[in-house]
Amino acid sequence: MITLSSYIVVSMALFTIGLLGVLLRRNVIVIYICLELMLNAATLALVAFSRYNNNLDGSIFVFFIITVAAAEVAVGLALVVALYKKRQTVQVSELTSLNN
Amino acid sequence: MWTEILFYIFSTLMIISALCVVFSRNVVNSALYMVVTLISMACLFVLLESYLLAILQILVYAGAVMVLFLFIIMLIDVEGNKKSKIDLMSLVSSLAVALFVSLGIGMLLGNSHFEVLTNLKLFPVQELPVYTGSMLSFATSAKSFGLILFSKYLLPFELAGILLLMAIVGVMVLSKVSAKTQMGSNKNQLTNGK
Repeated sequence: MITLSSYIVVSMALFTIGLLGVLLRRNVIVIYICLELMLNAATLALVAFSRYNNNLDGSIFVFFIITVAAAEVAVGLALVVALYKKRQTVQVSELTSLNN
Repeated sequence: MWTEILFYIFSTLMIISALCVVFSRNVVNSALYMVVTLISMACLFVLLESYLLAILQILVYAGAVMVLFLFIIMLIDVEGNKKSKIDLMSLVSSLAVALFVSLGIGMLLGNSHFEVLTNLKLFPVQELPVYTGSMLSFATSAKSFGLILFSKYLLPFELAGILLLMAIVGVMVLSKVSAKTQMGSNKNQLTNGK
């Protein structure tokens, strides 16, 4: 029997894996991909709640999350390209000019 | 019975490909595993009977966002595997943080709210063909989406349009600045050549 909590457990596992990716990886683009993974975990939880309460508000929220995530990815990747043109690197361990 | 089997198949596929996104050495492989994750999430949306969101996920996320990622990966010169090894200290600390986060969410689920969650039963799929008023929200999903989007959530809809316009203008501004400096350096080269 697939209950709501099984979907929540899957969403939680996905969120934790995305968090692990953001903390572990050193490439800026892979960090960004894992950030999108965390967003997707939240959308899965929202759609599950929307289905189990027979309410469409969660799905509308997911609609706007997808829109905002697409806009954010466009702007963020433009920033990454500008950063690469300035610094010639995308490893986070070398982009440390704000330290000290 | 089939919904359970399909749920287990798609959720396992999603979690395995998410692990491959995090732990693969090549950036292109990470992006492609992310596409697999997004498609299996769309299949889970279909299992949850949100057909419009499943199609939107594939069209927008897997079709536009991940293609944009792959374009940027192709633009940026990715170094080899010499710097992608993960040292032990960051691995241990990341696993500790992930464990704490999952324990926190698990405790949130295991508290008194859990009885509320188990009382909610999934509407059995075999009984859904009669689309009465209470089940109408999932019967014709695009139509009900449109009804709600233009009546109750009209303001967020318009704001999302303005946000997309700002994103377009922002991307154009961000990619224009580097073009100006390139033009400036070309002019310098021309004057120095004379």
